[in-house]
Amino acid sequence: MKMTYDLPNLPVDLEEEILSKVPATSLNRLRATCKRWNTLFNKPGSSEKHFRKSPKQPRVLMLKACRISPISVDLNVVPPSVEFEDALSLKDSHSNSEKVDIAQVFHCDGLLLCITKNENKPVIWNPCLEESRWIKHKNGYNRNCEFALGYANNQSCHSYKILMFWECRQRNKQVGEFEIYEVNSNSWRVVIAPICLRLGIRYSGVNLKGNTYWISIDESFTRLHLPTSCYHYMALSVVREEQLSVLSKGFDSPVVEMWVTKNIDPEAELSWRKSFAVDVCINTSFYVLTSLIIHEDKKVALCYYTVFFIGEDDEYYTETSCYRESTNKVGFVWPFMFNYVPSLVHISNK
Amino acid sequence: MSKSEKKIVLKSLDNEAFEVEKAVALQSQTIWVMCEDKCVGNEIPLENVTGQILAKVIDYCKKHAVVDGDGDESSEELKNWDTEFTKNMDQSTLFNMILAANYLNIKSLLNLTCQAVADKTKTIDEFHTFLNIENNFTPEEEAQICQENLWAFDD
Repeated sequence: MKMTYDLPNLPVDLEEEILSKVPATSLNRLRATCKRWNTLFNKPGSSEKHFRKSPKQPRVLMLKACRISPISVDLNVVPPSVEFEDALSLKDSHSNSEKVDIAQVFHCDGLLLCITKNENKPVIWNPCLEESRWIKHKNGYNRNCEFALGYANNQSCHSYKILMFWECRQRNKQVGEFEIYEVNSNSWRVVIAPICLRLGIRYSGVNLKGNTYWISIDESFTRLHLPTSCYHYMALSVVREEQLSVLSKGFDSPVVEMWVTKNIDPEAELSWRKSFAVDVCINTSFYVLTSLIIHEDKKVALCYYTVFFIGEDDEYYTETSCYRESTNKVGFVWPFMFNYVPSLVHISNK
Repeated sequence: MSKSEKKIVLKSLDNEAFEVEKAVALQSQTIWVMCEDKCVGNEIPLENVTGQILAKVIDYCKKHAVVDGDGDESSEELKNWDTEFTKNMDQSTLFNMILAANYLNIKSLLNLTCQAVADKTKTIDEFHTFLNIENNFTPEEEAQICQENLWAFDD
């Protein structure tokens, strides 16, 4: 007997099971499927819940010339090719046409914390949902401020926070304070913390699982071990939302080393393993501000400030110098490369 | 244990009988509970699964039982087998495989089949068809949502 089936409706939990396998960018498009799904993805809690389980599709973004541009890397050609795509557009809070110059960026859960170049203002931005929230502060941001984005890990959803450290001179004295902005309550509060933090301006912090990591030129909140000391150049980054990596090169050594963490446990010491080392055969003018492992097995990393690849078999590296910034036009902004994972985390005030 | 005790008979909705190794069938939590619960002899009626689908489920369980057993086959190979397994399934088969995996409570098969649907179903229309969902937006509402979704990262 041959049976025919009228497709019944799939139970809601199975439907959600399928949706949890769809990457965030595609899922966002699927809001137009029906009213129920549209409501589902617009609800902060449920879209976040989905994001925890959804497959991660990391992209490479780079802050250059005060804009954030996606980079696509083709590993199928030798040497690998790199292509900058059109910059993502972050709009000004007041006018809809004015594009904003970005001086610094942090990534956490698909949210970008951008610091504007001219006014030092922080804005949280989800480019995937095209949502942004400009963060106001009663004293403005004219003081010397450093920022980071992270979250406290509650059971069901992450409560996102901005950490700000500001300092300025008052009556011949250097004063400073830490403040935390809570996204949920849209408010700032002062926190007491030992003020021993001087962040090297060369380095943007990177965020992994809610905790922010910096390479500091002085002290840091909790000192964590770096893989090696006495290195001249270091660049910190996050690999696939799972590991930290550090590029390091001694001052008079031609060898560039890539290290990745073996464990990420906020309570424990970081332990590192050397991912690969490449003799780049060039002199000390080698200068790296930011780096990103693209493919560990193929030994491909993207480094900047000359963009180049470290290649396979310790044999080549390719320098692509055409991406040097014209600094006089926009003023100088430290370039920064990072992995970005699109998410459906809502951030707007509506 | 005698040979017969190691075998079990699964009977589909349309009365097709499959004799399988117990170790194979017990990957289904549902069957496992049935076996524990009441002695139904060694024949287990599965009222929600047709013979055509059950045959495929058994193929899957056989493959995974062998691998779990001797560990000879690499997980890489198993992954490739899984990919091949779902590759040529049509939508209606996949749909019924999901229902069967859910009913039989075989977590890994449910994962695999849901992933296959997510990979194969790309457009909104495909989701409408597959999940039998009606598009209940007015054309204006639909245009509005599509407008909001002008996503810079479309591949």
